[in-house]
Amino acid sequence: MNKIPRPTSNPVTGPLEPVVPQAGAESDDDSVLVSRAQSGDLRAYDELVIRHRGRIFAMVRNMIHNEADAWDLAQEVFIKAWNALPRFEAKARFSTWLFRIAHNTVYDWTRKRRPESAGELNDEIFDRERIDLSASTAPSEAEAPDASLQHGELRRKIEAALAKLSPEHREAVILKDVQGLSYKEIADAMGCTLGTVMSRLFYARQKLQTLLKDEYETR
Amino acid sequence: MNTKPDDVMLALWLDDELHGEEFAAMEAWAAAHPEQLAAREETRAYRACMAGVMPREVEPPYADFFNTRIRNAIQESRVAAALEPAPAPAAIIRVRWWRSAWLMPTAAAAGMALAFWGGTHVNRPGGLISYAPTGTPAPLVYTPDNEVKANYFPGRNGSSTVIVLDGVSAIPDSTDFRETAWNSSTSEIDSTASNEDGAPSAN
Repeated sequence: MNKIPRPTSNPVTGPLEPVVPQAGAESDDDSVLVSRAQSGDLRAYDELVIRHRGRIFAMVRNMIHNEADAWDLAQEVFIKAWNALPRFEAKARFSTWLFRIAHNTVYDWTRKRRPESAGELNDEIFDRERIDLSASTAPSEAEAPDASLQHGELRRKIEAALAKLSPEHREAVILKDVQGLSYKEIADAMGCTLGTVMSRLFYARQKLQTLLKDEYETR
Repeated sequence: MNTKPDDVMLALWLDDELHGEEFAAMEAWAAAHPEQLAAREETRAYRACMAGVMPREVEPPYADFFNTRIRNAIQESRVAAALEPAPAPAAIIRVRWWRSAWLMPTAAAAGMALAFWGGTHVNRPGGLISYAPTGTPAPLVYTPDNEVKANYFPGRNGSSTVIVLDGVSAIPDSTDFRETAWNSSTSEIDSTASNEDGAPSAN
């Protein structure tokens, strides 16, 4: 019998004390929540999810260009992170570690992607134009409506250009130029050397510039 | 810095990732290389453009449900882990034991005896033990409106489910359901409708 023992997953215990959710908060004090979550505090982990879900969802969505799948995959990232949390060491930032898990999750998904999504949710549900913006449950976006209109067209062009890059080049651009990670953090997240990150970013930016040439020239 | 920096140093400088002495040394070198200063400005403008257009954070749709599903998955994995049999210690040693020459015939004989006993007892009334599934987590019931509470009541035999929604606004009398649920095809109804005497209508 050659059974590999399962890694110890995180036990769940009751809440220690209530946590006030702060969406988008900086991750400087993640360490407190992380250590509480490592001891099984699910509410602390819930707070970590609230803090980081926006960045992870944005990163995954930019990688796969499908909102419904990104919604599922981003959840998978956090579920995997919970199971791996006992092994997390505070050598890297929690957000960088999450990006590493997101990287693996997206690549796994891409490898075994089915031709047709069998998920319970579809893109029509998330079509923001079909949602009443005044509804109490309307999804929120950080950008103001006027800025969204102003940037909408350019964003679509950049997204289309990003889609033409290889997954490695696309991820390097997303992590560096959208998420603002350092070269070292990108190397950690993508599991490659600093030199590889620099090379990928150099060629990715060059190609983006070529694809967006018209946009550059009119600006 | 009089000599040309290596590519790594140059890339870090172009992306504003240098600090302290390294930054000062690169700045001193770049002062004599205006094309590098221009390249850095271009990189900065590009990064600012990307940061301004591509959102760094996007709240996932139905964010509260997003978290609920994660919590539920974690709880389910806990239940699954609790139901999983404890890993056997020193499994390899046991395998060697199992393969030992005297144990296998003994185990085979015991197995045959057990099968015989099972065969003679299996038809006795009340002799069978049924194992009901245990630890099945309740289904996740989500209401997009926080004002609405959903309560889930499973039937005793597992064949029925009742979900009670508390807090749903009253539906006004003026609501015209034909706008939301309207079957334009009447042919199926006509074909199954019966006359007063119970005979199928002749359509």
